[in-house]
Amino acid sequence: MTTSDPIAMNRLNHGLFKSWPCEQDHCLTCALCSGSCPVSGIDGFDPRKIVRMVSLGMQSRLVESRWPWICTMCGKCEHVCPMGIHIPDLMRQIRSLRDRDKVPGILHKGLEAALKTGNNLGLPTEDFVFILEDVAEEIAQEPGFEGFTVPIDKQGANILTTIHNKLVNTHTEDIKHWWKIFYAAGEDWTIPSENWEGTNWGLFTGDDPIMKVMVGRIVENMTRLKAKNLMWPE
Amino acid sequence: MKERTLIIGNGPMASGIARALLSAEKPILVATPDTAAFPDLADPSPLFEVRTQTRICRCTGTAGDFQVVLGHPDGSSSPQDFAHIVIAEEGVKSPLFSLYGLSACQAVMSLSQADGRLFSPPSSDVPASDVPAPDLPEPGQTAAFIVGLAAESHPHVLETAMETCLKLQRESGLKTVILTRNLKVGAPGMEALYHKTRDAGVVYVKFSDALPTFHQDPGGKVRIAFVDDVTRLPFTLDADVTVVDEASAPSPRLKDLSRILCLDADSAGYIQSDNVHRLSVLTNRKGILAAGASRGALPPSDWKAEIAETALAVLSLIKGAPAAPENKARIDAGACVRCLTCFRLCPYHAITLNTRPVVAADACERCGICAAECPAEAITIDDLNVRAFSERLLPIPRGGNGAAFTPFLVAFCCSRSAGRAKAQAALSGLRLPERLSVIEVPCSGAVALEHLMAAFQNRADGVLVFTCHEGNCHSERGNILAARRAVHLKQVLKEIGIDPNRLLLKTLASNMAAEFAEAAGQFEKQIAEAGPLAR
Repeated sequence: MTTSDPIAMNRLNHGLFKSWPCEQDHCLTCALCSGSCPVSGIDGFDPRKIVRMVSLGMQSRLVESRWPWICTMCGKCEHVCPMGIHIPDLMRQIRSLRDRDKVPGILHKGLEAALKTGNNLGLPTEDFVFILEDVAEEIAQEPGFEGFTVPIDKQGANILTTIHNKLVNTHTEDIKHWWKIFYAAGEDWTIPSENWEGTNWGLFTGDDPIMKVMVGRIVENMTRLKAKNLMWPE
Repeated sequence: MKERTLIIGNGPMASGIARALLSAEKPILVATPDTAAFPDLADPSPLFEVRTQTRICRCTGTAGDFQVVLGHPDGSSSPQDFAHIVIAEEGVKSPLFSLYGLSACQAVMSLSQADGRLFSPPSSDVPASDVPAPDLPEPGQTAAFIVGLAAESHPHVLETAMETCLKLQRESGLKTVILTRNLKVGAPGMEALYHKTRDAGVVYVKFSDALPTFHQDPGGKVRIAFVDDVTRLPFTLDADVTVVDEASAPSPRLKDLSRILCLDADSAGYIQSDNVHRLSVLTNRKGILAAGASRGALPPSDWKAEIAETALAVLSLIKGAPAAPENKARIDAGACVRCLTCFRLCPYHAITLNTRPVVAADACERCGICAAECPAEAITIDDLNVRAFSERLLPIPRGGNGAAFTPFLVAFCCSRSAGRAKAQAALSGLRLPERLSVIEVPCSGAVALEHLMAAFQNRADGVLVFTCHEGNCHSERGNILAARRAVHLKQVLKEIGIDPNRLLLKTLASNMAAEFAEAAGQFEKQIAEAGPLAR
């Protein structure tokens, strides 16, 4: 963040973000957040500066700044904060203020795809089913797992599980472990063929309506397939 | 009137204490050099008397029996008797405009002025008239408060600033900003007050290295420019109103009072030296108390407690029977040469002059400073002279097989510090030197050259003097005098061919049992290595 023009403090509305339940006004500037933050220093990012800017009501700078998007929202800052300031929540609130078409590219595209197709990758249902069945066939070839199949869209299963998009993209090996456990335990389980996405990037863009849509779809799947329990491994 | 208390002062502290004592039906006289006295205590009471335009000229006597000469405006004076004296002068506040290059005007004021000038009087009190209303700031305007920025300020200054900001934010709709350096929220209730102000929207800007710059326009308004310490961004603040903090100082009247009443003052001039033994409202003189801004800078929130504390202290003085004059200092009139050394040195002002120095037994605390310093050896305190310690100065017989040399050590200990430390060390089972004779004295100021020499004469191989830490001596200077004598004796020892390291002076606090044992043990080792004192 570079600037040469002084900011007129009188024009700032210090009460602007008072309604946020984040306690930003109680900052003691001790900098424990800055010290604990794993991405502190990247492009000058410093959680303490953000807290101060929120407290002063510096809206336009916060919205334009890259800093809130550098934060990984890991929550270490909040854990160490002696005043209990909810810093990751602050970051989300700031992110929510940005125009949606100015949300950083990868998050923006992923969310758009998720809304349109049900998953961040924009993977068509037949491709998804193909991949799952392909993985199931590989498992069936292993000794002890003869006859293994993946129960897609099974009605009345005990467990319904969502899928993290990377598991059907680059990390298919990682699915096998828990499927094998299900098999060995004789578990009654299923995976929905539509709206199977387990991630919810509305969390990262500060977009509550989108988060609600994504969660709503999982609820719909549970109702449609009459599943008893949800396993949401994201 | 044996119980009558003299209160010196003319502000809320004096009137508060007066009211408290009157409610306990104790007679008082309030004296002030001001022309008018505080009005709120004007109801006639046979117990209460106010003397305005009155100075304190002289004071003799001791607790329970002071004779004070009051000076009147017509040049006359009158002697009066008082049991006790309370000094309750208010402090003075000087605004620090010049530190920031600001000049006072409608838009720039001191913290004390702020309350009167920033708030409109209640509407019911304002009669409809042609008198223009004071120029009050409007909602939405900005007030900047400068607190402890270029010079450190006292927490009570911050407290007043925060209270004012809180009122301005809540009642007047102003935006307030406090520019400060160290936010001193250590006093009771301050952190809660700070959070209240934050919730109300008060903005704090803290500075560590670079301070803001101030530009006052011809109209008096101030533009403040600074780099925010946290965001490292440049800001400007246009203050419609600027409130500058003040330095607190003791009343200039305290200087005379301290001289006339023979009271120790601290470096700032408050009538209470920096000595924990004087807390809360005591002075070095029994029967004379210092309250409120007469003893230090106190936050307004503490005034109520201070008034109660002082009144209770007076009541307990009235109640307490004077200590029996037992083993107090005695001056042998025949030997006294009237050099007045004792008069100058007595920390309790217990030596009065009546053609010759006389000990006021009630005020004497038996510190022994006078006896130790009297050049004519005319002063004695029976149980503190060398003869009284003769048994303790005799060498402790050697124990064990007697093959190795075990030094005989004598330790002079102030009973308020090292005496307790030694007792604690013994109780805790810490190792103490085998042949250590401990002589407790009421104050290390009682340890005269004579005592130290007597120890060496009685075959001590090493002598220790334990005093209180500097600034912690109940008798104010006893430890310093003891240290001075030790330096002197070391020189003498050197001249007569004795290793000066056979005398050790050390300061201790009463809770330092381990340090006592360690110091004594190390000294024992050192003297054992040096061998017996050759005679």
